Amino acid sequence: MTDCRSNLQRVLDSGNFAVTAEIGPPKSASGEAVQRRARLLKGHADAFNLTDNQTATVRLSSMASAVLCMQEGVEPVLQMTCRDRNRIALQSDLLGAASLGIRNILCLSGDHPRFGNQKGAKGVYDLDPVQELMVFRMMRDEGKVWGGDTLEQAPQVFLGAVANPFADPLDLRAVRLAKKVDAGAEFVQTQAVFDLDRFERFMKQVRERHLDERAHILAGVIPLRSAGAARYMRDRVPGMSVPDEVVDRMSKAADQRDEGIEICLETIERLRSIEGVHGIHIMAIGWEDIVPEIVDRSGLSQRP
Amino acid sequence: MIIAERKGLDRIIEMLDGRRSILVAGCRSCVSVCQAGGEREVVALAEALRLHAASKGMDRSIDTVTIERQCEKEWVMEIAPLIEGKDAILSMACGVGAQIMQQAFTDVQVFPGLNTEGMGAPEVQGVYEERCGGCGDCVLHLTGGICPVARCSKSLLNGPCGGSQDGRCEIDPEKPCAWDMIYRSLVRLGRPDLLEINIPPKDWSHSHHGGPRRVVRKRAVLSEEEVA
Amino acid sequence: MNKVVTLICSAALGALELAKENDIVITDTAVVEVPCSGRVDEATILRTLRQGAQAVLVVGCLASNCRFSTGNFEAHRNVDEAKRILEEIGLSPSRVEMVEVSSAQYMKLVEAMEMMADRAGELGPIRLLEGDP
Repeated sequence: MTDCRSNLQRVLDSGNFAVTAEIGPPKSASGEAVQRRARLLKGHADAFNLTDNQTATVRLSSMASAVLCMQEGVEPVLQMTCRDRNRIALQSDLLGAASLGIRNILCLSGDHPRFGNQKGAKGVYDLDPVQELMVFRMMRDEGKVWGGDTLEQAPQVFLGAVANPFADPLDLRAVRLAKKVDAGAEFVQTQAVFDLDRFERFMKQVRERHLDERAHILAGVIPLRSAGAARYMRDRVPGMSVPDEVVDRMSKAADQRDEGIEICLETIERLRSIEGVHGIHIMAIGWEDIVPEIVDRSGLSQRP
Repeated sequence: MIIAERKGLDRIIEMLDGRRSILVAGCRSCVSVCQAGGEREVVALAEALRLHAASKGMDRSIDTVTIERQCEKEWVMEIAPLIEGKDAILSMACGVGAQIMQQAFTDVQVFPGLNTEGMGAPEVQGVYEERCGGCGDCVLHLTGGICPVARCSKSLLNGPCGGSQDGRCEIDPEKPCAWDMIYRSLVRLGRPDLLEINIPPKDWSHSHHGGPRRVVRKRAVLSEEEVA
Repeated sequence: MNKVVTLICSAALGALELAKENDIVITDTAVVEVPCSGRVDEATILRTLRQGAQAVLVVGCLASNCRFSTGNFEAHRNVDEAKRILEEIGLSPSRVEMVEVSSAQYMKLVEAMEMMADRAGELGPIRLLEGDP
């Protein structure tokens, strides 16, 4: 077992149920919003993801946001997509991140430029997330960049990937996760779980392949703020599965906000009971204030 | 084949502003198949330009010709007499043909009448889809005969992204997810094991990213004596 | 002067004969017979307008009745293409239209021809309306 490179790794490797959350950087040259959220969320999770130009929309960079978080004493998870940078930039940024004390790295493909405010941009996609993991692991474990040149000092990073049990086809999802774990993923954050039955089926396949013994899986949750939000996620977000029962429940609720939190808490409770789930990843973009309440009411506020 | 689409006529008219003696040159190869720049399209376009000129009281002469393959200079040179007196050539070939035309007729400006959209094939008549990414390092044997470079919106080489739903690509529900197709194809071929192999970072230097490419087929290159 | 040119397929021509037999006088349109409406391509339609027509009517058989099986489908596509082209060069797409008739439907044919004559009247000749002389 390698020495723990980050707080998140320490929590997971010691068998504790981990909590991660997200901070969405602003469309601004001022990092004040990031710092404010970091202060608000400090202590309520083991590490915080800084998204990388999410939805292909120009925002304050994830790397800069991660540094701002660390200045507030909060551990970041640096998201690095394959969309905007080639292997030269990605490897360089990994060295940069490591030099700044950033330890948790999340590798993902990134929303296509078509989604964002730079629709005419050239999507780079020099590497895909599996290749990104292969390259980063090589840098860390062999002290070499892709191609063999030696690094004076290897980056000590804890590598992560994403998984979407709700995209199609289901059979391929565990295969894809296996590929990422083979390539070097040590922790995995999933897309938000609303469809627990499907998630359980996915986890069964994961356990059959013993992937839960090789990587820590953190199940994603999103607290729903309104029935409209539930409908939007069901109908307009590719790769998200929101069962009609959830949408109905939200529509019929007297207080939609409270109902959304209830659903989130119930989901978390059920997730904790699934073998192989080692933590949760709370994505409350635009509603970061609610994270402390969710963590508290889930009984997870005592962070190890 | 190369797939292309005619530019909007408003754009073409704008490009040809001020030109009075135009040759519209089509191609009998790929652009005939995708009905963008073959003889029929050339004739129709010429009529459109003439009608437009008449409606504007503009004095303009439009000639037409359709070349066997506009990318091969031997065929292009055959039409040299038609260039006499022209102040514009509207090429209705793909970007390659348009360039060969300009290279052949250096004194008369060539205008591209089409937008070239890659290498593809007819899905059905009238619908032409990009199929090949021209990456210079083909891996179709690993992906069940489906090009991940051209047909995956992110050119992923290791399986679908999280946006694949109902076999559709997240960026456009009209577009099939290439990796969904690859998965199905490999299953039908009895090779789902190929999905479990991690394909390492691609060497893009064989693609256009390594610079404009040049292919030499030694067996075909003539000696100086033979050329003379 | 004829403002409209009607391109009519041989099979539908019967409708025109029937109109004459019923003492209907057709003015303002020149009639050209074609073997099949599908024979009329977009270039032909555009050339017809350039040569002085103010409107063009293409007449073909009813959808499933083309003696060449799909000629009228082709004609529709060609007429639509001609309309698109007219729009792109700044002329009115309503100068061109297609109508399907059986050889018995002489009133439908006459109405279509009158409609195109009206349109031609409203839109006027091409040169004077849209360009500087």
